[in-house]
Amino acid sequence: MNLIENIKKSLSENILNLSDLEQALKVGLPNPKTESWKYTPLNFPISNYEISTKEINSQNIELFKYVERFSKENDIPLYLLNGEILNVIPNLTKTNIEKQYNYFIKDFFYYLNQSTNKEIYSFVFDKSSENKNYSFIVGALAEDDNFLANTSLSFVIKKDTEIEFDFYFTNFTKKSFLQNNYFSFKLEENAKLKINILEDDPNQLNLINNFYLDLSDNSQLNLSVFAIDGIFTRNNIQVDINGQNCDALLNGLYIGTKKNVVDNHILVNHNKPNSHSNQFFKGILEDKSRGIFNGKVHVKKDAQKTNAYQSNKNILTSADAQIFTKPELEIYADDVKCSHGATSGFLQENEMFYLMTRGISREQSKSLLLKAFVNELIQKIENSNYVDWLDKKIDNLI
Amino acid sequence: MSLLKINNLKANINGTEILHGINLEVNKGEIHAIMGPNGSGKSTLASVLAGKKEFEVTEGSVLFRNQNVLELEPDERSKMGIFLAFQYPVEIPGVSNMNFLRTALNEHKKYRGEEIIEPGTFLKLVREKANLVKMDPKFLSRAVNEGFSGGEKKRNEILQMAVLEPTLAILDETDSGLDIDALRIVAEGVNTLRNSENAFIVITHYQRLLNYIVPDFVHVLHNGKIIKSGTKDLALELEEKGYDWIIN
Ligand SMILES: Nc1ncnc2c1ncn2[C@@H]1O[C@H](COP(=O)(O)OP(=O)(O)OP(=O)(O)O)[C@@H](O)[C@H]1O
Ligand SMILES: [Mg+2]
Repeated sequence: MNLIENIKKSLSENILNLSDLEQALKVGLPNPKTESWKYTPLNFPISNYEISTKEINSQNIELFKYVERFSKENDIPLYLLNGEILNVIPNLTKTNIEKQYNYFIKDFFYYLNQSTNKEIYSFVFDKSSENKNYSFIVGALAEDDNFLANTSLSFVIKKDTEIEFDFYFTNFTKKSFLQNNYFSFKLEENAKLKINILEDDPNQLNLINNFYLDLSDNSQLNLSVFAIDGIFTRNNIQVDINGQNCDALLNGLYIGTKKNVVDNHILVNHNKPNSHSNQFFKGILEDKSRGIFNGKVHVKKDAQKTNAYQSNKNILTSADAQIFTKPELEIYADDVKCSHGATSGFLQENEMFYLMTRGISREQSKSLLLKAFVNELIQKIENSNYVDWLDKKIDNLI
Repeated sequence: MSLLKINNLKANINGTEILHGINLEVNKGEIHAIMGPNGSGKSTLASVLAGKKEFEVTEGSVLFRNQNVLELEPDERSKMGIFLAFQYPVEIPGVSNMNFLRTALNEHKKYRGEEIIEPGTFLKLVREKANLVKMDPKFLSRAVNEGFSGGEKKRNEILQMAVLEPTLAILDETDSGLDIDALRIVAEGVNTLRNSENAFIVITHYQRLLNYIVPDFVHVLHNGKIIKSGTKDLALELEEKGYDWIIN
């Protein structure tokens, strides 16, 4: 495969894990027969991609705009461009990769990511890191088309620590870029983590994002993911509830336009009793876009008194848009409360008519209704900076 | 002067003809009442006038201010001055009443080439209008009609009418579901808005409303046709005798 050859050519052996590269080749790209990729076509020419080895040219106006946004006191931005860390923030250390990686599904993208990451950056946050705004800007700055970046980070949230992270995935150029990202999070006892993930593609970004979260006793996770119109977006989010009395809230919004593909694969494993999880995802599919939602809840045998809920609602605004939604409950404990529901439909004609009889145009009525549909999710975010940004993005789209 | 002229209007839904040739002329300053048994086509007529796509007009014409409106979208008709108060107002979760009303009013203003209204000025205006229909301002911050009681929904329709100040308002059973006080309030709202330049079509089953909103003409719609027209005395007669004597 070209991609593998390209990587071998561009990187010297001492920064390359050759065996992983061979493994990637052996496992091969997902295809329509691969169960978890059945409805998710790779709608970009992946085999032609290359690793970017050029010096990063940070004189980029779009990048400056981001830098300006995070210049307030208490803002701690970390820029990861083309897979490289651009600046240093507190709490940062390097760690050996193996330990962090056991949980992820070992597919093509996993080996691809590992092949160029001998060491990964690791962050430890404790009580001294509280009350700051941490933003992770994962961006692309390519000089040419079809570049790939493999990013890996690992986070530990220490006992009793409460913290919020904002992630931005973007492309600062008009060149086509593929990000293949792996992030793992360990929440120690009584830790509270809030993560807002904005996948924001003004240009050509293909995104494969893996989030793994490991929850210890009494920890709380509140994760929101907004996939806003990338050419290709695949989110794999796995939460392992390995403690009791945990709370895992996963909220998501995805908007597809044009021929874009947006896919959320969610897995929540209840391995211990007495915890609560909730998946709440909404999608808007326009034009010829395709959405995929696969939400799985797995309740292990001794995870009694588990409460696990899931909801997925979709609006299609065009007859050519598609949604594939599949909730999966696998329950091996008997004393649990679980529910799931999925709906998909077009905009309500009677609502459109009502708005229009008041003088509001078809386009504007449509965007009022879509805005109402997404507001339920946006309202869950408290960070007003983030909400403003998101609002603007969504207004441009719908 | 003629405001609305409906000529031999026929309309289908899913291939079934509901309106079989309606003729009606409404002049400025007039109030017309339309009565008629359930299922006779009153709401269908109202929907066709407002521009509902599901109904297919197969014959006839509708002139509003001498312009054929049948080809126009509902929002264009609204901006020209047609308003429909729905028999069953639609609930729109997530859209605040205030935002909805302001967006609508601004569209009307833009159409007339006027400056759009500032939020502060709008707030004052809408409070004033809410007062006119004795509606608690707290309803303004709620989602459009969501969880409103039947009567609250009807008042909200009149509030919208008061804000948009239409030239032709069609009130489809705005009186049903209203208690006696609300009925009087709604009627007062209509009477306050009434002037020599606008007109009302009031669809109702009950003569009672017509004590408050006194019509110039009363029409009976039956089986998709206007089978009898008269003055307000016709409504009294219908109240007393029912419809059988006209239908047969
Ligand atoms: N979407 C539809 N599909 C099929 N038939 C319809 C539809 N809408 C209306 N109709 C039929 O058209 C006829 C007229 O209905 P319409 O609602 O206009 O009556 P109405 O005079 O307003 O009655 P009411 O006094 O009960 O409000 C009825 O027989 C009704 O069943
Ligand atoms: Mg009716």
